[in-house]
Amino acid sequence: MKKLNHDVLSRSGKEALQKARQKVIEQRDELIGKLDALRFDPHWYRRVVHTAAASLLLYYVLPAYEWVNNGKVYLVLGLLILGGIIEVLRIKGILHSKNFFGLRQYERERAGSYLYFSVAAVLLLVVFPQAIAIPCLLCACLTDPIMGEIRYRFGKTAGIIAGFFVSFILFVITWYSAGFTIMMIVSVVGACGAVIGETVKYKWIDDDFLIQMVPALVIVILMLGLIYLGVNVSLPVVLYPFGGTI
Amino acid sequence: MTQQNTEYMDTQAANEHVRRMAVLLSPVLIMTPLVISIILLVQWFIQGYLQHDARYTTELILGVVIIVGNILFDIPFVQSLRKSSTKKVHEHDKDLNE
Repeated sequence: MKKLNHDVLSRSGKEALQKARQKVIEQRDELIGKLDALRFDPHWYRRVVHTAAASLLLYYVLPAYEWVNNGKVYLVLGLLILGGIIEVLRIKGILHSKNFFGLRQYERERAGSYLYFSVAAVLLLVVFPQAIAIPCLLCACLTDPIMGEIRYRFGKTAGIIAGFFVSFILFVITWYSAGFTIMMIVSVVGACGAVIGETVKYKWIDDDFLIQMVPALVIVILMLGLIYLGVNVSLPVVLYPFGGTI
Repeated sequence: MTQQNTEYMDTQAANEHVRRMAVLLSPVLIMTPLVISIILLVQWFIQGYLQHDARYTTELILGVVIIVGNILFDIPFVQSLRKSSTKKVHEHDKDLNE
């Protein structure tokens, strides 16, 4: 009698398990079906990836413990190396380009612009002071897509004017505490650098790299020039670590 | 789809897993910068506003700039997603019913 009950229970348990498994499979198939049905514009996807990169400012806001300071440097360098390896595998044909979403046609035989963006962003975060790195990074995140959209809708000149205006504001926001004259000089020079970096097109260097590095290098040269001329220039602190000073 | 899409590699031919991954990453792309800007705004509120420290004003301005900049591009992105998904999901449901 006991054995019979056990058999009945185990059979009903198996049936319940089978039903649950079937239900999970059905739900999974339904979810996959809905995901596959979704289609979106790669153009807007790339724009959103650009603006989402503003999240990199978290780098400066993390608490200023020694292990955090070291860890974040190793993390960004590690991610960069990983991206580099993936791109080498893609260009050599080991990884197929269809495994990447939203790549442009001209990126088929050269590194994707996301790698150029990452190289410049990591250089800015690790090498440059934050007063220079933050506006240049924001130029790539905001100026680039805004300039692209305005250029597409209203023409090249309107794009350049809008790009200069947006970059100028970004530099003013980060340099306002350095004094009016320094703020204006740095903002004009930085905005010009960002617009030149975005406008000039080279086959092997992406504008995502140039829009960050050109203004950064131009401002470094400007700072060195001002120091050489005896002008007292102190770089403003833009962001403070969460919960404490630098 | 816009005319600009001709300059992109054929997304229809993209690996199914990659496309699903791109779709699943969309909420992360939208939410992460918003979370970071909220962190900046909270920092300004705690250190700048409550403790009257003017050095934290940049946190406030950058937080607002990041939120505005992101929402500006998130809206057309989500619109492009919804338009195609509504149509396609209805087609998918219709196929299932048949």
